[in-house]
Amino acid sequence: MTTRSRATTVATHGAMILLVLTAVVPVYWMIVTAFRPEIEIFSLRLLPQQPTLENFAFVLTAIPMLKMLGNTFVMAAATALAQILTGLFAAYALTCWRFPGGKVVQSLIALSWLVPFQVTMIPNYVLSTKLGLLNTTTGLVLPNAAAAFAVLVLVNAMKSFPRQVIEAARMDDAGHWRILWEIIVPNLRPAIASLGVLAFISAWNEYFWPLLLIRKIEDSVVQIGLQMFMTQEGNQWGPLMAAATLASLPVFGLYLVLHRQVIDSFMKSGLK
Amino acid sequence: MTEIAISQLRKEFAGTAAVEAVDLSIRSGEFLVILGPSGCGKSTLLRLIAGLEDATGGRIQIGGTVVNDLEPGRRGCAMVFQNYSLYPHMSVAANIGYALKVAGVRRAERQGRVEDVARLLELDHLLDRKPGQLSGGQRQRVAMGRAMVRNPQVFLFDEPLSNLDAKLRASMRVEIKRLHRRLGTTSVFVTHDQLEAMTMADRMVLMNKGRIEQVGTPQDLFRRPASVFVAGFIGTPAMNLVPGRIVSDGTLVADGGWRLGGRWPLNPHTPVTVGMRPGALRLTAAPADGPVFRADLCEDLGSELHLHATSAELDLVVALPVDARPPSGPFGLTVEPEDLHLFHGETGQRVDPLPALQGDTAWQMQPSFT
Repeated sequence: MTTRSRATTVATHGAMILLVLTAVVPVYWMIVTAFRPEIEIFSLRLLPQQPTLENFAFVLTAIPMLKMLGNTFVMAAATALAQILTGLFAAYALTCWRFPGGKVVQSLIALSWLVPFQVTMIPNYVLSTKLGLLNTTTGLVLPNAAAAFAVLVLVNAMKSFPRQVIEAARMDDAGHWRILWEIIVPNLRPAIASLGVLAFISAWNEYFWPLLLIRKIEDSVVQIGLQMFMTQEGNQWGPLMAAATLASLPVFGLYLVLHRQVIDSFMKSGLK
Repeated sequence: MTEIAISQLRKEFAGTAAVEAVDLSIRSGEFLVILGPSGCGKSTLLRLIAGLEDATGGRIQIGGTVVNDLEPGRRGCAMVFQNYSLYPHMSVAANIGYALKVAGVRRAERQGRVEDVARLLELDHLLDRKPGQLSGGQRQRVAMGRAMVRNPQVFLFDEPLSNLDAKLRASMRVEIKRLHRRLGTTSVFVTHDQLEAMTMADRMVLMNKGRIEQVGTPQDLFRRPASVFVAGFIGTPAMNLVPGRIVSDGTLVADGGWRLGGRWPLNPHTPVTVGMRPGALRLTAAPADGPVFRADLCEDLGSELHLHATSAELDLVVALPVDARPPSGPFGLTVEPEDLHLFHGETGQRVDPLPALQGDTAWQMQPSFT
């Protein structure tokens, strides 16, 4: 190895290590802070000297944390599922059917991605109120049940799926429903898994919409719960970090289960 | 028994005709090969029969039923695709049996039929594998099995051998022909490989620019090409095509003042294209009038020699027996009049010679060589 290429390798690895640290340190700090007693909260030590579970105990008693975690899980899972379903249907129509204005529709969907939440927030709120969806999980899920991002990801994935395989299924007399579920979807698992993870995380982190829609703390989601520990008198860092740690666990879990498919879908641009 | 009748079929893509005014009748049990260069519309024609493309105009009948508005799966056709198009996530057995599953055939019966087909195609030991774990030839056979299991009325093949190596292609060619003989199902086979077409076809269709140039047996197309295009496309090495004209005494003169034989029903001064198969040309001594050739290059194919002969105006290929000695000096070429193919210079259509008259010596007016 030449000196130059070794220097390049060291520099590249150094940069990557720095990036990893940037991503990992805040998470690590959140977890250790959750285990620190109050007097140690601002300590710069890497590990708590007297690790304690009192912050977790406080969180679980101060707010209905488990109920909120459950609500958030149901809401995020339903949102992710709905986005995948609507995305699959839309992507199938846009890639497998030729119809006038198809490209325009696809462009409009892409453009709708650029519309900020703040623009649709008020009309969505009014609509939800009129439909009687205040304080309901359905109300949380419905406005996000279809996402431009999901449609675009799945359109791209389906475009790279060999067209002749779909034609072979048509020759085998499979209808659209069968072609979608029995031929395309099993081959798009990596794309669907990564989309699912992203949609789940995005819904999990949702703050504004639940804040508007949900009035009762026990019907609310975990991001609202976190806010309970940030008060005008100052933040309760220990419980806040404990609640944040609890709030992160399902997302970590999901990623651990699906990480292979997620990485697969980022690595592969198409099917072999 | 299933015949296919196509009349005035037309397919346009964005205003451009890919298939135009196609009339074709495919007999029941026939093995018909559609041949042509890339972009000639042969695959589009097959896809129109399959129902994978909607016709812009015209009518397709399969077994007496107009199928223009029927879904591909309802036309009684099974198709073998160029890239096999197996379902990547399904086992070989599931791939073969998928059409039966869609048709609602019960699992036990399905399994039996899949096993029968697999045995016939020698795939029975591979039934649990996924397509990704198979070789090209095995995938090809799975694709065949998937088509066969439905007992279709018509088999459609879209260049199914083009991804195989030469040896495997030759053996699959024989295998497909044997299967056809055994099953007797009407088959339409698309290829750009004329060897495939010539060896497999009961009848051939040669297409060019969306239209049918000629329909006939392989011998018809080889021996009596209907147009310059057919003449130039069929045969390896390709037929020598030389510009020429009919002179005032009604005889044929090719470029370079080469007087050729035959009596032709054309007016004097009509421009023509003369076709001569490389194997029909004979070497002679250099003539006093007419083109004098020199050997430019000689290719030894093992079974025969291809001599590239050049004169001031002409470049011709001559096929010689492998033991022939290419001439080192100038030489002439001659061809029997019955081996000449004449095409009208403007329309490109074949012109048949007039029957030879008693004592007619027109073709003998070429210089005599020793």
